Amino acid sequence: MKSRTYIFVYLSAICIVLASCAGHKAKTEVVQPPIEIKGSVHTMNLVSDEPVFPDQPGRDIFLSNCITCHSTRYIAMQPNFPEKNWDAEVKKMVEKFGAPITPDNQKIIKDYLVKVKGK
Amino acid sequence: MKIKFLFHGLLVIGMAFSCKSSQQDKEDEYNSNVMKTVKYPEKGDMLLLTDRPPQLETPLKILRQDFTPNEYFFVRWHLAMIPKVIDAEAFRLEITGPSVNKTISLSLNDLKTKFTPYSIVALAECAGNSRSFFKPRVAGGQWCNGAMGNAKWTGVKVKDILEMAGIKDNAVDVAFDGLDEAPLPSVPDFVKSLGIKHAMDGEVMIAYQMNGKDIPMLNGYPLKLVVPGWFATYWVGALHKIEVLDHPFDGFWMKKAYTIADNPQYNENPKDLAKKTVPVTTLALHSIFVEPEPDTKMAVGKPYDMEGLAFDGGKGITKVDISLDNGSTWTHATLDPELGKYAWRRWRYTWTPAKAGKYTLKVKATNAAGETQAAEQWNRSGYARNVIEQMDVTVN
Repeated sequence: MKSRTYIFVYLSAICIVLASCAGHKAKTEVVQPPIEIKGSVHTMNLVSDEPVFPDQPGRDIFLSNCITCHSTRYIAMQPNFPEKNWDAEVKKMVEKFGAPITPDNQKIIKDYLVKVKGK
Repeated sequence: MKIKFLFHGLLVIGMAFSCKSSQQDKEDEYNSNVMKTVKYPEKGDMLLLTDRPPQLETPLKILRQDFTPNEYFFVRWHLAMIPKVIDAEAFRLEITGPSVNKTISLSLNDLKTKFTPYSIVALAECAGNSRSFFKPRVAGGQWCNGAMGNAKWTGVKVKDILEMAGIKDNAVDVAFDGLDEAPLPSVPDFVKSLGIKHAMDGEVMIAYQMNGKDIPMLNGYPLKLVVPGWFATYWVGALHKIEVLDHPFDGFWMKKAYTIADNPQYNENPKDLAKKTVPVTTLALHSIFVEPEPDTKMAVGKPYDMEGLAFDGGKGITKVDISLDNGSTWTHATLDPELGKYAWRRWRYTWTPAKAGKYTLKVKATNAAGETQAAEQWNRSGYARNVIEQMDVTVN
């Protein structure tokens, strides 16, 4: 239950950010809010700042599977890789990091990455 | 002073774009590899690798300071659900497991008042520091040289804490768990382990302060495990649970992640990957340039003060050599006084170029065991970089 709630919160937050950031270019300096301290309670609020990926076939599957655990920026920061590297990365997420992605969707995600971050 | 400050400012701007090509500059952010300059809570201007979970790199010019200010200390979390609310009064560190005599629970106040405070100066370096320089490129956090920082850590020895709980003779491993959590049940929680002897060596400690101040939330407030001489992957942030086990710990973050080719240079061939891998542990012997930065222009006949950092897992840097001719000849750099066995050591070399041209400078460190750096190195995860670094400069 707990995990599902978190996923919902993340996906909602990301949808808002994707909608509001669409069209913005790189190099915008991001200033996050400071820590709030009330009594002995320290609270950190971080505003999401995720790059928008191109609207090409496979994008929905890519977003719904990958961004539960990490920002699109994890992919944005990678160099452009050939297909075999992206294949290995998707497999690594599933086999090592425990991402629950079906074999069909793994292929769709890999193809999408090759299209937008391929070499 | 003002001119110097301005110069530093320009360096920051330069740094922000040092890891990309000009072609990428024209493309959208998703494909730019541009490292934006960002300001996160309790942090100065840092280079953004990722925002969720956050990974922030220290700008190179900050490495000119012997002690990395907390505001500029690099940030690296693994799991998206990082601790965002900490109640310092309610917080407890639990020491438990099958090999303790009794489970104990310690408040921050207990840690500060019931134990003898212990301080050590030590370098925290991410195992993937400098990953972006590997050729062919490898996937992972695309760090330049700023996934490391040197600090004075103050807190309590793990030994003292474990002795309070009482350790049984059958203790094998000690597992350290932070408050960060995985967003899915299938994704493994971030837990690291040390052998019982290592944990009890009197140097492994739990810090409640870095550089005399509270640890920033992004660096693991209120408690951070400090494992001097070992890669920062072991320095668990927001540490809240220590488990003393009667069996070897076999968690994901020890057995599957942060493993590296099992040979002294951590080297493997992209076309023939090492069959055996082992957990990455002690810092690799390495040295870097801090000044000059890439593509620096120098003037004939004008002295240029070069400097950089050299470090290893605690044997101690004894010599740093500089080459001004792409490795054909080498000359000694001077070393600043040692800051501590586990700290980095600064090297300096003043060069007055005699004639114009393009130069490839190199830097190579040697430690007290006579070990030196590798001429070539590659591994699939881009860990433990120890290769001799080079810097291309132009003299006009």
